[in-house]
Amino acid sequence: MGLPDLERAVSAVGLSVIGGFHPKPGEGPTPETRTLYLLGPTPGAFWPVFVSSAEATDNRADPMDRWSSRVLDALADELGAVPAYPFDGPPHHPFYSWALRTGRVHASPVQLLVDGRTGLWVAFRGALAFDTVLDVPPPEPIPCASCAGQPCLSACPVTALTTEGYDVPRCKDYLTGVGSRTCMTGGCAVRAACPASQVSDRHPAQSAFHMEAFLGR
Amino acid sequence: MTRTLILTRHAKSSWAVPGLADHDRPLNKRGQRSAKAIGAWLEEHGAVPDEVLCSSAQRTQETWALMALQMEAEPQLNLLEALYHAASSQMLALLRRATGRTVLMLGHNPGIAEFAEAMVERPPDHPDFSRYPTCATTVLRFDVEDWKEVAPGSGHAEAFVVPRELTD
Repeated sequence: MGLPDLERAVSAVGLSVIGGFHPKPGEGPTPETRTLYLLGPTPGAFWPVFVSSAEATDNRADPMDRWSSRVLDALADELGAVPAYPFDGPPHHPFYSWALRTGRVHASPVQLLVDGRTGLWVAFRGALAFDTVLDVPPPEPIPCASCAGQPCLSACPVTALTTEGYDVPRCKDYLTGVGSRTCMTGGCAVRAACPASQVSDRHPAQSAFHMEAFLGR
Repeated sequence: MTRTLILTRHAKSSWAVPGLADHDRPLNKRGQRSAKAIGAWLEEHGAVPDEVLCSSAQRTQETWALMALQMEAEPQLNLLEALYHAASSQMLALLRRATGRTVLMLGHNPGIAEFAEAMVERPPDHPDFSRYPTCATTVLRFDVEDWKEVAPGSGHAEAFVVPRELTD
């Protein structure tokens, strides 16, 4: 199993290898894990794949999580890996810590994860754990280091996301109130303001889907 | 005029050689038995291809080679790099270029499971159809003159079989 083979397999389902690392004992999803890859949506490719899936149109709950389970369970079986999901649990897998361990995803000034490819839109649909040591993508610097204006710090219309953290009730109050249509239809204003997010070919409907899911609708 | 599609996922592959590229992994013993069993089952049921579209991976090539041992016919074999980890949409595009009356496609999950699900008019009543385990095989009949005309949701599933029903 090599990284090019994995990248090819996941690209067929609209996903990318966001990063990978070699877990220390007890750090992976299984005791046998020697290499863990984190997989996330490929900008421009993921959304068309998802919206044409059975899960997207069956009107049942949690369509994207069910899509992720079906597709990554099948990929894991094909590639000899064990899948892990952000929505597993409790106990939940530490995807935030795993992401930082890849050296390609970092904590932004507002503490949301950020990478150089999709900015603050970076997200994970799952992980694949292998019991052998495999190549992983090299670390990449945090894009925020060269971001002069850091617009994420002032983009939230109700200052729910700052260096102090994330005030979730404040955010939800705003989203469910009057005048929040930009966030609901275009996605979180903070994530959208990130200059690294601008190069990401993200479909607006994908952002709207996640905003509705965030509110439990 | 009808055309027949046989959709077979490769048989169980081996993880015994560390460091081997995914593309180069061979079948294990169980996979070898399964491939022969599916080949014999197809021969017995008269579902013998005259054209084979096979992913270029070692495990799909070996699966076909062992299936072919059970058949008298010698169909045209097309090894396709594009079928290796192909998405469902890519599989449909490749099928539309086929010329045989009975075409066997050998591929990988999750693409082949999604392709099978997409092509059937009604899924077979079998608990493993959506999961498409290794060497699972569907035989589909299409009422078309040419593969160029084949459309999703138009295939009549004549049979679905998994190797453990034939070997254990």
